[in-house]
Amino acid sequence: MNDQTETTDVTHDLKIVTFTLCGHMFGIAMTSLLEIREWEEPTPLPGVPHYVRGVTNLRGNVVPVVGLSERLGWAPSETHARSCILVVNLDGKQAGFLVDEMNDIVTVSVAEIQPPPALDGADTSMISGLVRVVDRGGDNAETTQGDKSAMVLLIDVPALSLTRHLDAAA
Amino acid sequence: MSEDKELDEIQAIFFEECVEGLGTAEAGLTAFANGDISAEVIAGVFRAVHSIKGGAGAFGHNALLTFAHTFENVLDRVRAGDIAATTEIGQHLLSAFDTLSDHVSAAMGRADVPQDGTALAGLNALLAGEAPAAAATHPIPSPSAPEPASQPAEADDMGFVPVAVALDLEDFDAPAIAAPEGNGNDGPWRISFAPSRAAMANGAEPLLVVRELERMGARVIHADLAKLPPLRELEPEQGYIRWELLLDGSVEQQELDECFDFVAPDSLIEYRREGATITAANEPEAIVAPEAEIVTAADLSNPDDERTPPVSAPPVLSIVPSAPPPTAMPAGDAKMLDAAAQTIRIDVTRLDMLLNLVGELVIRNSILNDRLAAEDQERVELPQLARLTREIQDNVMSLRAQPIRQAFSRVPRIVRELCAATAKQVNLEVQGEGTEVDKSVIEKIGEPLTHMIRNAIDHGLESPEERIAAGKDPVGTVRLSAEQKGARIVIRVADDGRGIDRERVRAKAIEKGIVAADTPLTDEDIDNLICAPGFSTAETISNISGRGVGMDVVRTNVEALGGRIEISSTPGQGTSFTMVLPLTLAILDGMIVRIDGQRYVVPLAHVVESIRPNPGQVKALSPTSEVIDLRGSYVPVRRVSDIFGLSAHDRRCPEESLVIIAESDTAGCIGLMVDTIDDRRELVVKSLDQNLYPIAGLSGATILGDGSIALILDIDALVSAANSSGARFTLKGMAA
Repeated sequence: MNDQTETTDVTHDLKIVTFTLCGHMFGIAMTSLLEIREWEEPTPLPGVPHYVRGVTNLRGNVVPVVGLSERLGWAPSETHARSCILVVNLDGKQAGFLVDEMNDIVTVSVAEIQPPPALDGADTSMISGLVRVVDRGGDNAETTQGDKSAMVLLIDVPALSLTRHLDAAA
Repeated sequence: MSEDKELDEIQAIFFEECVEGLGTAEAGLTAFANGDISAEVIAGVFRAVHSIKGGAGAFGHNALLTFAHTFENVLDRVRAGDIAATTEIGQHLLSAFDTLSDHVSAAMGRADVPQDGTALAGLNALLAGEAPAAAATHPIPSPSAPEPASQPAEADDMGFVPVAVALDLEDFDAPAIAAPEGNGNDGPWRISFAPSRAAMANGAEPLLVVRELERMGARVIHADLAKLPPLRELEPEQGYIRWELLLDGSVEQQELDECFDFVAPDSLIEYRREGATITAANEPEAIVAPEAEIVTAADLSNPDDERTPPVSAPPVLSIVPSAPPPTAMPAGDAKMLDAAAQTIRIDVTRLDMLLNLVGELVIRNSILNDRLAAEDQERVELPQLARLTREIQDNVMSLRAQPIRQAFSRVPRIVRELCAATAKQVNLEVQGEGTEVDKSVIEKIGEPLTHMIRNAIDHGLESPEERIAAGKDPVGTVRLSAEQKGARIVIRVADDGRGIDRERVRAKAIEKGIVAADTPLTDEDIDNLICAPGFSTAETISNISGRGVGMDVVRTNVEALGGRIEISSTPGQGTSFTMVLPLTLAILDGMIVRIDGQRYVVPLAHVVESIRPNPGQVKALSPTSEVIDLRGSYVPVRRVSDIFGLSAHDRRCPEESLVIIAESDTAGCIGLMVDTIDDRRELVVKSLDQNLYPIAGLSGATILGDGSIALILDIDALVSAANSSGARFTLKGMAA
């Protein structure tokens, strides 16, 4: 399903925003990011999946807020002063994703992006690729081999869609 | 590519106009077929069809073009009086109109191109078999205005009435002068013209006016130089001279008016007929000054009218207000035409965006208020700002209001088709079609309305034979009405048919297993059974109704709109179905309650009362359920946090809580236990659907004054969820 994302069929550079979740570095394409907001406790909703933390007011729009860490199967984020909400456009709908810390904006070459290796039992359906970037900061990011470069897990934004299960059912 | 897009946009406008035009044409033709045959009506229909034809040609919808063209030809002949405008012709035109609307749907790509052979043949037969004799005997005035565009021109025919007649001032913004005919008053014009001093500075060269008059045959008979100053005081660029001219009487006054169109405003202009045979000669001066533009305007709009001497202007003008317009044009129509000229089209999404922004403005306003120091809050500017913002909000809301006519417009056709299919005769009466409702409501009532009309005609009304046997008029009446009552709109479909056969309904409901055989049912309960899913009393399923989905659909749709349906029936006298709907879906009157630190909104329409329970008034029914003793009846009590499975931090005991008794339209009452009631206010409803998906138990969310979100409870869903285990409410659609 990853071959449908914007990262594979483009031959030039891609700007990504990197952030950390549970100490791991993730990235999403700049093009799908609408804005970054301070964390604010959302209004909880009944009868929604555990990762939907609630809804918040985004300039008159009621926008769901999702714990991205839980959504990807990691431990739920603990919110703190540097917690942020990435507001993302998902097929014309808006959604906010809670991340532990914003990191950087970097440009990567599309050619350098590797598809996620198929591992037994690992759900990588929401990861569209892996790319190595030079780490210019981010205390929590895991740096490998001391060369100040880190692996970024690129998130397949459309796969985060909150209504995808509804579309599939329809 | 962008050109294509532009063309599409223009075409979309054309289609919108088509729909409007069809509405106008249908209203006119219906009036026509019902005997209201006036030149206004025919001309209105003609104009509508003409515009559709024009657009169809421009966008290459050839089938539509051909049909509209033939239709227009027939209408033209009717208009000219060549084809007798009888109600029978009206019926023919109506059925041709249905084909025309099918053509429009086809052009929009919503339907296949209709088979219009029969309809075309019918129209051509009308064209071929003209009956001038019949036309001559028929009392329709023949409008003489050729161009359909200018509305006031329709008033022409009154110029031929042998008494002094004038147009209605209010309808046309201009009085017309119509003089007694045949007073033979066409003596030569005597014209006085003194340009204002500053005429030339204003670019109004008097010489050009004089030359123009001379070209028409005028002779200057006198130049009054009295105001001419001595040479050294003379300003060569100012006007001092007053001319007297004599002009042949055959010249129309209109031409004179045109000559003076561009003179400077302060100039003196007088003209009168010399040697007039009537009072004109005695009148000191009948002045037609350029200020009296009303005369000019009226005359221009009556180009075919007999030119009338201006001398008679004063007496005629005096009778204007008292003279009713001879061609009775319904005031509403005139207003509509007037309104049509001053409307603009706006995309609804833009309006919604504006509404969102204004809502946000209201919120920011109250946030600002909260953050200000107490003494600053006292200042007058802040409440003024708040009030202004609210006013803007109300105004933006009202922009979304549309007359319900849009939803009613499709009803006449449904009625016609049903009449044809059932061989019943139906007279449709429509009232209150100007009632304004939010656009979203109009969009959603179409389907329920169709079902209600079908139901009234197919089930409600008897066949003509049965009606005669029952001593009724063989023509049944279906009355469709709309009115506003407070914040609700009431739409009623009433028939004068046989009424609901309650025994039969009950028997059918038992047969279909909708109710148990031993359930005691009141008349009201039985009437409501009609709306139960799968219910139908029709013995055979017809194309029209009988599948048992109709009234269920009505109920579901109406409830989805936050409304309810009421049924009343008198055997032998008729049945009426009433939809009670909110005026708008975007604004809700709500009670803001607090439970476990969260705020929720209970729609006020559902709130019956709120109670602080006495000790022991709330009783446990089981470890997890409670009831409240409400004056002897036990109503289940739930905490919202329990229903939603949200964690409760500190549970208050019932005596410290409030119980809001909420009534659902369908499933009875429930007591909602809340900590406090915060506020009661009008709220802008935001759908959860927009960025997420609908959630059971919630009908949306709203943004409160501090910018935070409160969820709006869906009382109907909560009540039925809470009562789902109870055996008391087994019937969906049974109001307790």
